[in-house]
Amino acid sequence: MLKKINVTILGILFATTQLFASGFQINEHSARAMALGGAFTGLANDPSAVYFNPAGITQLSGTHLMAGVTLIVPKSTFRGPSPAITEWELEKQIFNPINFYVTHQMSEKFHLGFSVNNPYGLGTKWPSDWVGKYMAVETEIRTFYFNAVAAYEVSKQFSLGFGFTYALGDVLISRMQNLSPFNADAEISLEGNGSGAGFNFGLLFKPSENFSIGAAYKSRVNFKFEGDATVTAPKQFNGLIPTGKIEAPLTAPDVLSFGIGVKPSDNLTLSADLQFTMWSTYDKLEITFKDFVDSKTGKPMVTSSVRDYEDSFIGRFGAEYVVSSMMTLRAGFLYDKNPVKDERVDPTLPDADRLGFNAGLGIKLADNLSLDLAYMFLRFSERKIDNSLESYSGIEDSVAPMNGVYNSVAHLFAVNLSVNF
Amino acid sequence: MKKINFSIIGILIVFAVAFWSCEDRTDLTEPGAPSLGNADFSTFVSFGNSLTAGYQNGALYESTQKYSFGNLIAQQVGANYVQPLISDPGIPGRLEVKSIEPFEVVTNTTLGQPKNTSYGKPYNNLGIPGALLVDFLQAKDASTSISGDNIFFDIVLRGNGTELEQAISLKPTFMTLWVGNNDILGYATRGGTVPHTPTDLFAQLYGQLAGAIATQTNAKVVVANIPGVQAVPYFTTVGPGVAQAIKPAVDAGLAVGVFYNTNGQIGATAPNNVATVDALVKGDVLLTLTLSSYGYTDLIGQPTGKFYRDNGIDPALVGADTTKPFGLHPANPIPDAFVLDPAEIQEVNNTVESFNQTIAGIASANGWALVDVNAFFKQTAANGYVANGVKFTTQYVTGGLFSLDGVHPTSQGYAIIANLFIDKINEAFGANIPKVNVTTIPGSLVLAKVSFDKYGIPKLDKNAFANFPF
Repeated sequence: MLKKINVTILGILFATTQLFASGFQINEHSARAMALGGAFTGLANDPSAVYFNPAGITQLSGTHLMAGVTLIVPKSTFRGPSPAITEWELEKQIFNPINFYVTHQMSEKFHLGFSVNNPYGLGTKWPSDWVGKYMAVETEIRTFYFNAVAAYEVSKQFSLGFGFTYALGDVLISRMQNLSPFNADAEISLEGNGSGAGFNFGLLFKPSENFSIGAAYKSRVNFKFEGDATVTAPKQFNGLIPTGKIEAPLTAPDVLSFGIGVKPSDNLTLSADLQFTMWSTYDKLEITFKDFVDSKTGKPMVTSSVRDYEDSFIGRFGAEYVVSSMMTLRAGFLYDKNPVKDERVDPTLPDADRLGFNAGLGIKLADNLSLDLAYMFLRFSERKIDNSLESYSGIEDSVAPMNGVYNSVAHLFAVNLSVNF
Repeated sequence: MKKINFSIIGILIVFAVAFWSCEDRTDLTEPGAPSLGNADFSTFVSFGNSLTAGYQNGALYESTQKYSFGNLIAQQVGANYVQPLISDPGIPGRLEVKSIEPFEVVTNTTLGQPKNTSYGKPYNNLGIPGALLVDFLQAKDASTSISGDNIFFDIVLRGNGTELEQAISLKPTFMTLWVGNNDILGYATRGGTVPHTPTDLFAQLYGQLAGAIATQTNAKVVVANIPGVQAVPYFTTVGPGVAQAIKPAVDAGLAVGVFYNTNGQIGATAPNNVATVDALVKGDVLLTLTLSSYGYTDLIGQPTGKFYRDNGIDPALVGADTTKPFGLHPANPIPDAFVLDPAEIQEVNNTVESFNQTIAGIASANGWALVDVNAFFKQTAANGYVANGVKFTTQYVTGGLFSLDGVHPTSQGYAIIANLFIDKINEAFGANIPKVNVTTIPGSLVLAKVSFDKYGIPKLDKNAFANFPF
């Protein structure tokens, strides 16, 4: 008679979870590029080119090392669910993606490079008793991409680069599960890690000293995450909620970017990028509970959720002004179109279109040593949802739309040290 | 250098604008009060019994009193609404789920305490669990109630007069009136072994009550009628389970069905007092949840004299043969108190119909709006009811509508009832009160430890319904 109860509990496990979404994508992988609004594909003239456009490393002679960290301080609030106007705020978290680059000129035309980056590495953490607790409490993803590239200078005007990526990742998703009709909640956590591989390539065309065009492509990375589901629930639910080993394939999307660099005067460089991220390829998330048999199919339980993203783009603009042989000033701007449709926005990831305002400077500390600093203020446009298909009640089939207003901002601080010899 | 300063200032301005504009709070306005039409909730009083009190899981307690239908309506309209709160786990002993598989319900023997006893006025929620129609007119405390010892009269009334007197003294501008359920439920839940309020007396008492409200208050009134028993899991859960349990024996020609006592008879029964598998499945004969809570369902088919031992009766004196399989032999039948046989079901149905005609007639004569709760439960029993996308049924526990006592709604069930009232208020008074989102009301089956047996019959603590006022 009660068989139905556990089916209900299973049906809505992680109905919506967005991991490789733009909200978790980090595009800031060096202080200099960040200060330029990330418009670097067409310049690619420092070691971070290994990430941004591997063809660019042909511009670097000798050996270069560069390392840095970006501090990301996001702040998000949700007011709702409508008609309520209660404001809920994300708990404070600071993320610190690192970056490391090395390039080496092997011969006149042949260069090698290597990088370590965290292209996905953010998370959200809401209070465990908040109104959206059945949708999201804590979500976090961390990835390390190890990228080895080779670049070849085909001619003075034209270079190309190609690389392989090996990626490691771990994810944590935790939220509350409504055990209605019982007067109880369960806390469900999924933790897993996995690895994947991909490739990248880039082109750089530099018809004159004052003008360059670049293009770069980073392939998707198919991660196969494996891990554990843990459940904290009243003991009456022992065996009724799936736990144990889980498996979830997740794909980080393809990214394609085009950029130009222009040098109107000796001191001034301008750059612009257009970045496309192919979110639309990934429209569902499936989690297999390997230890838990679905009574309907007799096979391991699989939960699936619709993500339904649209492709998106980011427009980037940067300016760099050489003040003196010791100091360079930079500024930038970006516009990031978010891929999540209004009706699918959920607090796992309070995403919205963003405007980024960037500033930074480069200081030459010694002949072969330089320091870059950058700051970005990322302003998310206020996002008012009034057609949400996401329910906050935590009950299967329930229509309790998570309508309301999301407001987010983020502050980013980046520092890099570069040395060449 | 001038040029640089200029660009730095430019950047600062852009930043300032960006920071400033991020504090956009243009739509931070409290939602406006709903239009109430010509309904006036400045003094809102709910008049009734356990269903008005917000009683569920066999008890009245604070954490679900806030989901009484009256309090939910009060919240939707922004009315002041004070209830006789009782701290958890409530009174008189809350039913809790001990285990889900198998499903097992126990009574929490800890009692709660009345909280706001010094509130200076009569409560807005005057629901008294267990109150009969005559009690509303006469009972001033537990000792003057018909039962003689129902503590809820003391808790709600506090020695300040009858429920009716207190309601009138509040000078209500709006009232819900849902009474009369217990005048038939006592008969039905005890298998027809105790009398129900006669229909003519019911009409007289209801008329008296309604007359007082109509003449001594200026309240706008919405009344609700009485649901029949076929929709209530207290009556519909055990029979189909027993049918499933005995079917193999019946198919093998070893039994014909379950024999039962009727008409107050104890001991051996007539061979025609038998419920076939078909009758149990269809609900032509209803077995009460108490058959399970007293531990008798497990004994069906076994030679047992448990019922006689439990009640201090010598089976030989009443012609029972406890060596015969319990329930499956006319000499060892299922006792009368656990069975509504076809004649008793007919009696219940006729009585409910008569009560409801009285209610409808008096409501109409006074120009009061009527919530047809009976029709709602009938339809829900047949087809289920979808609230905010979620389907509710009248199934015990899994249906989501009824609490562990099998008679009273869950918090979500009360929210659905609140919405039935709101629909009626909106219709009758030209109001525009928003309905409660039922799916955002928390589940209310309390977990202690859960056992349906393999036939789907819930195992209940033997004291589960011992002190069970309706």
